[in-house]
Amino acid sequence: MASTNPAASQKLCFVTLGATADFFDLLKAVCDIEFIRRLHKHGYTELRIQFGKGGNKIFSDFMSTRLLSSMDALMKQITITGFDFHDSLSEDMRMAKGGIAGCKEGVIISHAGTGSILEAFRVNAPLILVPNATLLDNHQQELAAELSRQKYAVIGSNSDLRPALDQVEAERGKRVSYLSVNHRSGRKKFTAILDEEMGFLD
Amino acid sequence: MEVVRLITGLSNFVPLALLSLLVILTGAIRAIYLLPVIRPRKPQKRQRKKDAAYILVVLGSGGHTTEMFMLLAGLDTARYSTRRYVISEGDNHSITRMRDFELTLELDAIQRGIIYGAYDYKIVSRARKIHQSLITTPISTLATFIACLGVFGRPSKQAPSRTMYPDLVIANGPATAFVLICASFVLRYFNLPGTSEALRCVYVESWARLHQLSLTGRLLRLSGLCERFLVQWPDLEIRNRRGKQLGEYVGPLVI
Repeated sequence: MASTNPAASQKLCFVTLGATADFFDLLKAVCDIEFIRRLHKHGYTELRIQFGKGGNKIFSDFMSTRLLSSMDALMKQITITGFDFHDSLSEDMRMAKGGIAGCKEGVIISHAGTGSILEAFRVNAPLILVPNATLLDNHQQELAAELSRQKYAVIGSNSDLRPALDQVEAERGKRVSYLSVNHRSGRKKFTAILDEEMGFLD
Repeated sequence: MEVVRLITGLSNFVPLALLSLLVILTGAIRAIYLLPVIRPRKPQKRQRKKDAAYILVVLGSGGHTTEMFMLLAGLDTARYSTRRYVISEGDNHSITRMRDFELTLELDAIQRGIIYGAYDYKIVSRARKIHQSLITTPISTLATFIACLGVFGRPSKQAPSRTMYPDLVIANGPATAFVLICASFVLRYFNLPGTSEALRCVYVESWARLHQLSLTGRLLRLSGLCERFLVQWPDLEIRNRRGKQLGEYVGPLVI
């Protein structure tokens, strides 16, 4: 599926911080020269960040310092864009999955919120989960740990995302797809349970 | 003399106390008798296809709404022809997602040549806003409760279902869900016409809950207000001593 011409093939790293809680540690972890250098090493052509309501300052500060830094040459080879929020991120996620218009499969880096995880599973793209340690609830942590144990996702640390990225690249093609395991036909659907309760008999 | 007066005073009080005790007891017995967990109702009888159902769906912020529409994906609009959504004040994201979902249902209905039905939505105030003080929470919860009572009731004129109350209440986690389900129980408690077969509750614990129920989940399980209490991870499966499932593990229902 992927184009054989490397110059024409896009490879997207899509980062989502979620809409509800500010997660600037994750934003800082991706707005990082060393991380971007690693992206470039793995052949990424684009970094796209959904940074949430308050993330604009960190993002634009990073973008302006990048222009001054000596890293500019590297930066020209990797497009970096950001936005606060769309109603739906599924388009961005599908691009990270690749397979369309010469796009290679990239990666999604996400906060460990249910909505984003499930959306990423739906497009079946490689997924790095970064739990937000500042949230009081630790169920995000639990969920991420369990999904990583079952090999559906890789856990990333917001202090350094490079090991998680390396792992995704090493395991590319060997990944377990959540959909294929949990979406078998014959599995009881929610609507079937409603039918039971409502007495809809086929 | 003082003692005699005291005794006569008490004896005047005794019948009143007994009477109020009796009232409270019968009230409580009725409540317990109505609880789905004590006396489950049989599924509705519905052989004819035209007996379309009226459902009430509680939406919550962010993840809850996403999960809810994943649960309801592929809903048969001919069966569930009348849909009402309950949305918290200021939750515009849920309104957008609801419209998207209804659009896919409509396209699907056209494609399959089935009835699409109708939907509407009601806004209720939040039981507790983020950072709201605990002292004022009971007042705002009461306001939410009253708003929830207004949510039940006849669907719009275009809706195919003619039942007075929703047949089914579907919820998955936001705090409003507990208040709303309590309100539905109050309607059943006073045996308003049309409530005896209606207002069944199906609760689905969030897929994000692996080892511990959410607060809404815990409250609903303790109160036993739901006909079905579904959990998506095996650790949350709960049975009572007779082996009856109080938390029904059905595997992941999302996606």
